[in-house]
Amino acid sequence: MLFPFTQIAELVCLIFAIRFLAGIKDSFWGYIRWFMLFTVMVEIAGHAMLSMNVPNHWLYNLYLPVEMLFKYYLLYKICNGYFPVKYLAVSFLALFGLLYAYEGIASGFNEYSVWSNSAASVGILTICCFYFYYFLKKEEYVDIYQHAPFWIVTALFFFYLGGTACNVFFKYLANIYEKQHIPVRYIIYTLLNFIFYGCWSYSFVCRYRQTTSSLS
Amino acid sequence: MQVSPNDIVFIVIISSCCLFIAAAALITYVRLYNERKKKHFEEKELMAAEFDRQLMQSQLETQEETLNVVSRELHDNIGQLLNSTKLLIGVTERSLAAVPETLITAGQTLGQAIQELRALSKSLDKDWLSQFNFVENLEAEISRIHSAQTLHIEFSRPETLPLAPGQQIILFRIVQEIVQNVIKHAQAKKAVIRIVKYPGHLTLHISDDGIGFVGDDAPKGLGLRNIKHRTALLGGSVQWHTRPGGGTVVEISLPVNQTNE
Repeated sequence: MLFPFTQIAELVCLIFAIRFLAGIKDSFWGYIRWFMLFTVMVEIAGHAMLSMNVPNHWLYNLYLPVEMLFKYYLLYKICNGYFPVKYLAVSFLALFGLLYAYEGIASGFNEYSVWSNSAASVGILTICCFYFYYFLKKEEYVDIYQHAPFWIVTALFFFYLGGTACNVFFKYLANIYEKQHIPVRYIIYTLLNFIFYGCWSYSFVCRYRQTTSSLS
Repeated sequence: MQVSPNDIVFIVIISSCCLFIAAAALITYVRLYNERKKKHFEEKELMAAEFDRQLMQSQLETQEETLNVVSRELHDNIGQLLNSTKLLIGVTERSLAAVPETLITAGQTLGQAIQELRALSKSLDKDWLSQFNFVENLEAEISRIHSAQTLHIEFSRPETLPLAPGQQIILFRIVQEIVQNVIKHAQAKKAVIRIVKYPGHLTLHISDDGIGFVGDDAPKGLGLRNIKHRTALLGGSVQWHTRPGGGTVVEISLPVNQTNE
């Protein structure tokens, strides 16, 4: 049984979201708390199923569209002021939807939809790269250490670029874990999740500071 | 060709490390580029501030020159005309057997006007201002105001002011502007000018017992803007504290060069 590092990181991030994003209702920051709560619930359920030797791929397959829709929504909200992200996001989401439907029909949701996840990851990475490009191109100086959206995008960029190799070799790694019990995917994703949720937690603190400073 | 599980693990670990390093490198590049942008932004701000300072300086120099010309005109032209008029009144007085009371009063009033004009001309003259220090100039200005009997001013100050002559002129113009505002708008009977010297800075309080003002009724226009600009030129700050019927306090804080202290 693998130790639930990822679930702990998610729980800490949820606590940060509740603490620092409380009272924000009118923007996408307000929805992050609900998304984090949903993620933690799914992860705890998935971990419990794994510990009882019950297959949990169908659960993550159900979580995947919610996760991708929310992450694309976040990117749309953050990047919209920098470049026209709408068509790019819709195109990748459409590709994700097609692959997701194909994988679902082909395997009956019993296998993780890895190719649709990979397609959505490429879309997220592309949008992140555009964001960084336009962020640097912008004439005004922005202090990145105080700029909450920057850390949201950085987290997504690290997570999806770092997880590319695991996505490509997903089936091989699953076989290796089954036969030889080498948890390569688990180790890499634990590290990526720590970076991801660390960056998100930091962005919540930045957002909180921004709110308090504008009131004083 | 069959790839062994160990090879796949190795490939995944190496490629994940490479991608991780690539992500870290991109974020580092963004950070460094942003730092460069910050430096450039700060330089631009500095240049803009310097441009504003130079613009303000040249505006003030132009204003000083204009006041100087006005001062000379007052002294050389209007002053001479008034002197001639006084001379003519004197001649008329001597030619009359019985001098009317009104003519004597006219002569005295004209004499007062000539004195006032000389004092005003002096206070506007840049060369005269640079020869004397701020305290002496302000005392002369206060006695001029006292002679008009519109406002009584109490003045307390340190022995010397740790300011260069150029700075003293600017400070003098600030005080002149504030006192003129008190006379014109505040309906005050009394004003207090207090200068206190602290290590590293100097504060100047000008308070009056006038009608004060609320935010929207604040006197707008060139006067307040000039006070702010001139204070900024000295590197200081200015604040107004007032309430309707409760008078006004103007508080100016100026940094002081240690070498001038």
